[in-house]
Amino acid sequence: MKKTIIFLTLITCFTGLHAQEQRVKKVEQDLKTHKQQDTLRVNRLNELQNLIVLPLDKADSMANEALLISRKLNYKEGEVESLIVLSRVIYRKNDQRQARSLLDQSIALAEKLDDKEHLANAYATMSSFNNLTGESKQALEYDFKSEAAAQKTQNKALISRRQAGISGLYATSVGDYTKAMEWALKAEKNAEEANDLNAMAGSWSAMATIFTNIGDQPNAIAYYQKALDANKKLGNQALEFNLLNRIGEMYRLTDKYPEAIKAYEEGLSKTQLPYNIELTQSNMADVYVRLNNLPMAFKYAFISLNSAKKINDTEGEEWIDGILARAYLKLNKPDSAIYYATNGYQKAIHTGTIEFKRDNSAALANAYNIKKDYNNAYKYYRLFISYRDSMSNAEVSNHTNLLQYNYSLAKKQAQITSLNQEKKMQYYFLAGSAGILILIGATGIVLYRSNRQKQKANTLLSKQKREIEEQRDQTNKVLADLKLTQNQLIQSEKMASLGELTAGIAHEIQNPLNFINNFAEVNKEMIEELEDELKNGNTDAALAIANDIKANEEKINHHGKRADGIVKGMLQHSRASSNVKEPTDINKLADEYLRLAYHGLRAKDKSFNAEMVTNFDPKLPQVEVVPQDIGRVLLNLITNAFYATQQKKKIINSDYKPTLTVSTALNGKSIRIKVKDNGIGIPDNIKDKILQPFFTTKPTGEGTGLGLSLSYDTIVKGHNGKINIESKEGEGSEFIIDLPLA
Amino acid sequence: MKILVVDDEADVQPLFLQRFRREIREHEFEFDFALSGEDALHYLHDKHSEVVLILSDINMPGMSGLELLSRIRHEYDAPPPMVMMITAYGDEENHRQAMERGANDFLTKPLDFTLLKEKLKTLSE
Repeated sequence: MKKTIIFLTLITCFTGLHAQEQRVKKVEQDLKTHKQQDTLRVNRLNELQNLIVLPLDKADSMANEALLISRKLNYKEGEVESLIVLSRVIYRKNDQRQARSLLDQSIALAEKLDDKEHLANAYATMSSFNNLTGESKQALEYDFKSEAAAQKTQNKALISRRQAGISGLYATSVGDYTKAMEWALKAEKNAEEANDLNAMAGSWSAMATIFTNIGDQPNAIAYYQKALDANKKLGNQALEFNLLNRIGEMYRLTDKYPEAIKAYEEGLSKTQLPYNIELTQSNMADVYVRLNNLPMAFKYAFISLNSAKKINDTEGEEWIDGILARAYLKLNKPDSAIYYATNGYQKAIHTGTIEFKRDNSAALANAYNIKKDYNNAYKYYRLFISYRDSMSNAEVSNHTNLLQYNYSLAKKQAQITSLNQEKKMQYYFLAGSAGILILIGATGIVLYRSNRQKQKANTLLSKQKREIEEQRDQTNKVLADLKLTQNQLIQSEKMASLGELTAGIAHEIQNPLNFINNFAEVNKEMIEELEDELKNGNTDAALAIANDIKANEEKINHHGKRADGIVKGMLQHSRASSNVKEPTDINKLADEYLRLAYHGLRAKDKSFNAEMVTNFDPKLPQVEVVPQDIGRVLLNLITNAFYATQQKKKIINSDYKPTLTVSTALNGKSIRIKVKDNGIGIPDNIKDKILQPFFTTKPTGEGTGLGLSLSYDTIVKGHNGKINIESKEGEGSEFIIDLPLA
Repeated sequence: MKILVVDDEADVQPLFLQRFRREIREHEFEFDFALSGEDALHYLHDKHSEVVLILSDINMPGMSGLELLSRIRHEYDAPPPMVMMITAYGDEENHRQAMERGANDFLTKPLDFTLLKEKLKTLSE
């Protein structure tokens, strides 16, 4: 994903969205015919590089030529521009230090010349260098400087582009969508004021990025489409390619693979640049890996890997190496996977790209795991975790609340529509009255009057338009705010369920640890006895003791593994969901979480007790699920069930025996999990509410009200399953989950 | 002296047998085991006259150790066996309930076997 952003920032910032094909031809023609070493040549050399991305060797020689000539001529403006262009070329050659030092020179020179336009561009370039290496804070600082410089030029289109850049950083690197939306709206306003279609398209695509990141696909697609349509008018194929690629990316990242392939293929038809072709084909390879279409995956991966090598796109190689490693893992060829992932990992270390360090280390951990080389598997797993955590992956996990704020959005939009209609009506009225006036008199006075009326009406209309726009901006801001709050709430629900687990885990771990300590002490005593027997020459007795020691060692080992498993389970639960489905033994998972939930509650409330019955189908096949997500659902249902029994126990006498039954069974082509209790049951009047977010029957502060709604999302949206509830007030409830096998 | 140990963890059995192997060898103590409260009641139904002491975990699935204790105190009073409760949750409430229901002693996990041995030896003398 980051790869796309890399190219987009490069192209949208520096080509300045003016890449009309005709202009490219003209500039190329000029360069062929006009060989004189003058300012015109400098300008054309730089302009071409701002219009299109050239092959690296050509780009290098042209940038150096431009710098040389401008210095020879003492043409300062040209020198500033040449330095920026060259720094980008050097960056592509992976020499970051040199690239940054060239930029520093251009910034110093632009400041001396008081050349704000170039200063804005140089800062923007610096910002994207920082962003590419994950230093988003610095990137943001440079972008602010760039915007400040742009403001001084009064060039609204430039200002708009810089504001769109800031919006992009907030959306993709910082994850603050409210700020991102604010800046995107500023960018849109300036673009409108400048009446610059290019800049408008830029601001729309910034908004599309925000919507993509908050998981609001319909709006994202709408804005991409707007940008794409605008772009068709401009005939800028380079940008068209980028937008199509982004649409493809959005589909790819939301698992809509056929749509992704379609967008990529259309994008391919819009570009001849080796760079773009490599990027698209590598993304297609990734999609085919995810589709398990390995022949196509290998085809595109190898084609794009060759081109990446040819054009020295090291980051591209890192990305494709990771794809190949994953493909080989699917073929169960760990050695090949290790070969490619190692390649990619080492290159990523060199270029410092965290994302590819992360992907390749994950592949290495998996590959070594298959090879049972646990030392290395563990080493890369730890690396993977640290890379993953260092990337601020603002993960948007579900859409529970989308409905809620879509409602408020729809309300606002209805208002806007009705205002628009009013506006239209007034327009017709005015047109009509103007016509009548012309018919009546057509005298100068009448015309003058009607003109004045029109002006008045226009003022009124533009005032209304402003109001509508303000409302729309506010709505969009509210939307982004809500999404942020929702993410925080989901996180807090996860933490709350972790809290419920902690006590259970402490208890669960105490038992194996006691056994380990005890058997270790016993063995110490027995070894002393063994020595005594040996000294006395009682071989048989010594052998018998040795056997006991051996058996005890096995027990120590067994309980060590048991404790290990518990800790691993806890880590898995607390971790943000990896969203990776893997074959899972549901019986084992259910048993684990049943015990954890029981001990968790037991630790909180000492008087708590309940009978737990398990009816597990021993022949239950494994099913592909995200184990920690399903575990969280089970934990939630089991905790709720226990809670229901405790509520009932408070009401009725001691004859009541709280019982909880967890059963699993194969049910046609799905697995059925039932969690049943004999608690207070669910009253009819709230049955249809319990799956809603924020609905809770617990006293304030005890429940977030998100547990069941998240469970519903996990089962229905995350796993294509079903949740059914059967309940009788006063008698108990049963939650029935169906998970499809395929 | 016959001792019944009630705990849902199966490995408690080899642990007790080895911790007390000298005493078992010298026929000082004899151990029997039950994996749940229900198991323990079955066992007592047949052999309650042999058992002198019951060591029971409190926190078990199904019938808890405290329930078992109440049942024993209700159903077997001639002669009443001694009952020691063991729990990982060594809190006031458990202790109070165990004593209220007639436990003779209260031990917390992890078990200090030296201390337990001393206690058992004082009882058997």
